[in-house]
Amino acid sequence: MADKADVWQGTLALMVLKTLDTLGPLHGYGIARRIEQTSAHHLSVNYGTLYPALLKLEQEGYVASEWGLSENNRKAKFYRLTRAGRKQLEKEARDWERTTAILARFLASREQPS
Amino acid sequence: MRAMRAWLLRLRGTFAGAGADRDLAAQLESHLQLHIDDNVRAGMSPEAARRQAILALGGVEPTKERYRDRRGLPALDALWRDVRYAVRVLAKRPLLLAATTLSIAIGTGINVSVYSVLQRVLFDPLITGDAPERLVWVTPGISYLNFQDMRTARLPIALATMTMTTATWRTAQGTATISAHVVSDNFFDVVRVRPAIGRTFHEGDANAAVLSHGFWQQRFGADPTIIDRPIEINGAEYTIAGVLPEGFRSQAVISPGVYLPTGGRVAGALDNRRAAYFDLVGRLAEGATRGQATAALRVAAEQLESRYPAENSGFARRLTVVPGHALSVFDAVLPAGVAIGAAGLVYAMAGLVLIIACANVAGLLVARADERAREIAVRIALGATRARLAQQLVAESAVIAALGCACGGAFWIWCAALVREAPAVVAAGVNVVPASLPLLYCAGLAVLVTMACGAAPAWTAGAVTPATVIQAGRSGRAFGRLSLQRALVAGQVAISFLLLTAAALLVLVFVRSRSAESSIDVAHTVAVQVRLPRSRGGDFFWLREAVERVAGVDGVSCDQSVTPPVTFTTLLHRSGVSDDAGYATATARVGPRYFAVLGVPIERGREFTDSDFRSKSVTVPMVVNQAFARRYLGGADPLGRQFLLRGDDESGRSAHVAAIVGVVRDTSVSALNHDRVPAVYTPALTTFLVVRVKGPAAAAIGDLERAIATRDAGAAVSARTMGDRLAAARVPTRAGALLMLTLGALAIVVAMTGLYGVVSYTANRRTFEIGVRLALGATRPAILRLIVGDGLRLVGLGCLAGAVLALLFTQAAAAVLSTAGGAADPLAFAGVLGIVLSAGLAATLWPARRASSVDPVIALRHE
Repeated sequence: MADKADVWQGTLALMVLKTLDTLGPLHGYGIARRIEQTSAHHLSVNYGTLYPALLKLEQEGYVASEWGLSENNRKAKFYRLTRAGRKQLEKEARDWERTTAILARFLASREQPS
Repeated sequence: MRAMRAWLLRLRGTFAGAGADRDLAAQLESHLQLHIDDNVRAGMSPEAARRQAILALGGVEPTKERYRDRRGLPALDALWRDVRYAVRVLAKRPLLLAATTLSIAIGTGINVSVYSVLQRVLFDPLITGDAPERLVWVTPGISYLNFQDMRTARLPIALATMTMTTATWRTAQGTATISAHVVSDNFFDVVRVRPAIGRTFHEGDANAAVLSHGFWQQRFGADPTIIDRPIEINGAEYTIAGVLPEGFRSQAVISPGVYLPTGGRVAGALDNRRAAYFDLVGRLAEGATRGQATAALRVAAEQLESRYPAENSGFARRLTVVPGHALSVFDAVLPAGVAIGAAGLVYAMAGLVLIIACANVAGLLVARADERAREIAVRIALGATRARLAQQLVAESAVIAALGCACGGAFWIWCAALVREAPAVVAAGVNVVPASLPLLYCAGLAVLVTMACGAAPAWTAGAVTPATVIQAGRSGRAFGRLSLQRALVAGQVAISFLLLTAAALLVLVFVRSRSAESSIDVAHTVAVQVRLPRSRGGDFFWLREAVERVAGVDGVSCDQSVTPPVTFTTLLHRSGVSDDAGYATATARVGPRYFAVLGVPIERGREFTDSDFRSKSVTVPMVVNQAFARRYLGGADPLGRQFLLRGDDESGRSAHVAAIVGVVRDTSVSALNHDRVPAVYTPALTTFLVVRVKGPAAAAIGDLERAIATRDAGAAVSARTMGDRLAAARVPTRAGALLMLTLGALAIVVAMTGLYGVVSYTANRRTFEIGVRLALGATRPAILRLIVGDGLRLVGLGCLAGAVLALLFTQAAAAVLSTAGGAADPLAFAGVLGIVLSAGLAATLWPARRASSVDPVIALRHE
């Protein structure tokens, strides 16, 4: 467990939005597992940051929540993406792609010392 | 937008209660369950599954903490917690809470009361009406003849005029003096006010009267059938035309009972171009600016100046136009600094009481912070920042300030209700309306008080370091010698001393003004105000003839409607001396044999006789009092000295020479200073009679009124004894003295609470030391002396500072309030010193006794 990296600050919100976009309404545990699985267990979600992050997204109106029953009949709070959330996801994904592209170019240029 | 929405939700989240916490707990619980289920499905034993899930979840409490921070606004949340904590802490110390709340309540209550009155008197707009932004005042005053000429000129402004007067209203039960506004017939049209019932004045109205709403309610029981009924004012009959709407004001403090048209000729001096007694109100025409109106008015004024150069010199130059809604008494009616100075002084005094109260609360809170030095040190050791600690201490003072100001505000509302119902206020028609502005002011005070009270404890708490406190232990002096708290108490004593001195000076003035009047024979004199429906020339002699025939009458003279001894202060100049600075003096205009009627002895020369009023001599005779002779003429013989009297608007006389023919004993005393005021009496005939009777004054009133009624059935008469009249004139001084006494008494009570607090607290802290002293052989009286001496040193310091302040104050007050310089009064100072010292002794004795009666064994075991 010790070699697993924590999720970077700021990227968690994007991952949560993307997860909800892909899988539809999901509870907090499901979101955490999904992120861990997608990262092939390279990332571990700190629950101390996950729930405040969900609350922040809800306060900003990107997700909505309601209590429901999980697939194995456990009571759980389900989060779903709102229309504003979908728009935000598109915007943030674009921004992220641009940032990574720029960084990738930077890193690539370092590999060729003159 | 989104950030705003999130912020608002967090604001709401701050006050979310246990429900929100339960929601999170349920979410975390469900999270855990889902994880366990997964683990079991993956093949773990239930125990291992649970253990692993809990490990993965991590600390539940930190998660909850972070979630809560996100849900609410942490800073606000902390503040809210601090306030709740402060309430809990204070609730445990009811005595402290009561003392501090009471101090603040007294301070704010007084301040709000003073503020509400001052707002009423000084800052409220003088006039209300439709579209008030187009209303203007033209200053200075104007004479009625000038007004009529200006009114006919073509101007970009519609002009109306008004003046205040008192009138005698006769009913079936008797007569009453009421205040009246005499207005031009277009006044209500210019101001644009629609009557509640009936109508306002038509053009050329002479016999119509319009009632104010308050007068109609109080005197006529809001009778809607009042229209067209007759009302007798100043002996003439008017018809009630209408009633004005509630809340209409044409002057700030006194709302007049009736409005009468200038056509009714109630006001004097309608035919005198010099008598600029009328206020000019204007409404700007559509599209006209104030600048255009001013220019046009100046042109009109210049024309009047060139037509009547003697009467109107400087008229155009002085003329200014000010916005009507902005103007208050503060700007217009009281150009002399007197009223503003007096109001400012009262305000300053009220402010000082609040300062004392704040110092008191601050002192008590500093003592509390000292008591809690250990708690504070532990908090710091555990990582609390100083800002957090300061915030917590300020929260305590905020709770006290809020409570105190709420009590003060409630007290004020209660007082305002009482005052409004008071018969004297109802009769005078004074507007006292609880307004929202004073309450806003009260809230502002609460904020100020919070800062003032919280700053000191927060500062001292900031000086705490855990190491010193823990080393010092219980008996240690974490805060040095509590110098801040001691300074605060000394300051309170100083301010109380100042307030008490001011009160004492006013009381002395009051007492001495009574003794000065004793040279008037009040037991046998009656003042009879007569208003004749029309003058027949020689009214005084004609009335005197009738009054002298009444049995028991011993002499008749006349004066002005105001109290005889004190009237307007003017500057006199020596005749023939061009460069003299002038002599400040009170002037009064009196009739023949005036002093004989009042029973005031003539010290030298003679007083006015009938022949003075019949002769056409160029030099006017005048009588001065002893104070005038003493101060301005030294030891020289006053008789025959000549002075230049200024031109007199009312009689239309230009400047003339007057020669002293007699000196009378002093009767005049300044209202705000106990000095004898120089006074000059000049001859004048009026219908305000002063009558000397052989029997008791009160018994003669009926006979005198009947005698005048038979002489002229239309005459309005109101008679009262000279004693009553003088008492009425003394009301302002008396009210001032009472107010100051109240303020002073409250201040000393509050200051002594503070002193008691600091002495008992210090004594308590020195319990161990006292135990040691007793064990080593000190006697109990010695301990008592030690503690009392400590307290009295503070009082002494405070008195010293207070005496300096009081000296400065009497200088300042003398400069503002009186014509003659008032020196520090040794009697007042000695009295105040005695009061403060004995109060200080009383406040220290009780805690000192308790301290000296400790059992050394218990005191030493304490450690």
